[in-house]
Amino acid sequence: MASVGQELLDVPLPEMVMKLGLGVAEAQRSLDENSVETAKMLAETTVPLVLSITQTIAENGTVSYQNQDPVPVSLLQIGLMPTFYQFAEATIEVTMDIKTTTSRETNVKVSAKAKVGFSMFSASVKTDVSHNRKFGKEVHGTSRLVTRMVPVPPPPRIEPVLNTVDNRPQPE
Amino acid sequence: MQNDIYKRFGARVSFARGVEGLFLVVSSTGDPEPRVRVFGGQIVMRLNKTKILARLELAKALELLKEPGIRKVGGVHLDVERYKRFLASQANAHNHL
Repeated sequence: MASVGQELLDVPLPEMVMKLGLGVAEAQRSLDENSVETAKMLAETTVPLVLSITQTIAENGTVSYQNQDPVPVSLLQIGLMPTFYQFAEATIEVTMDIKTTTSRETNVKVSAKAKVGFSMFSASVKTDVSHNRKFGKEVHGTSRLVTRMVPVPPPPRIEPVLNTVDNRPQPE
Repeated sequence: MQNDIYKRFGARVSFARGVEGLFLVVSSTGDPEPRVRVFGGQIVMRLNKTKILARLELAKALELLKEPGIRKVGGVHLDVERYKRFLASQANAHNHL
């Protein structure tokens, strides 16, 4: 009969860790793909943006406003970035409840026979004793997997670097 | 969660209640706003007829992603520094006009 210690050693912890690792890697890949797809949508979606409003105060004190023509800009361009997530922690908890029982059962069967006749007498006693030892084992186990995700900065190359080349003549 | 495989194994799946985040919600069938509101979301900005920015809890956003007609729910955030750089570049260009 396996001991309680052996039962604990038999828990397939390496396999559980491996499967958890593979699961986390697969989930991480899906999260990254989702973030990249979000980045594409942000780059493809443009909104009209009014970059400046001119406030004019007339001589008589009246105030008027004039909006600059709206400029179509992508959401990525104005700084709306996809959020990237990363698994920061993964924990496996295994709880086992092992109960072993031993019972011993003894059966005694006694039978007697006697016979008398013609000056003859015979008697016999037969005894059967059987021992039966039973082992019982109950194992209850629960496992708990906990993962923690945290947002991380997007890859530095995801946003294009804005370089401005202004070829207009500079005012003197 | 709509998927009930975990129930068949007697497992319990739960998400820790977190703060709300900003999500890009894209619908393939029309206005996603009613569905976002059903999941307790707040509309932050309407981008066009099928795209909105909404504030949602992560667990609610994952549930929303499984709704029919919802094409995309992706977490986003505003990079304030990049926004400032963009405004500065536009202001410089405007001053040259």
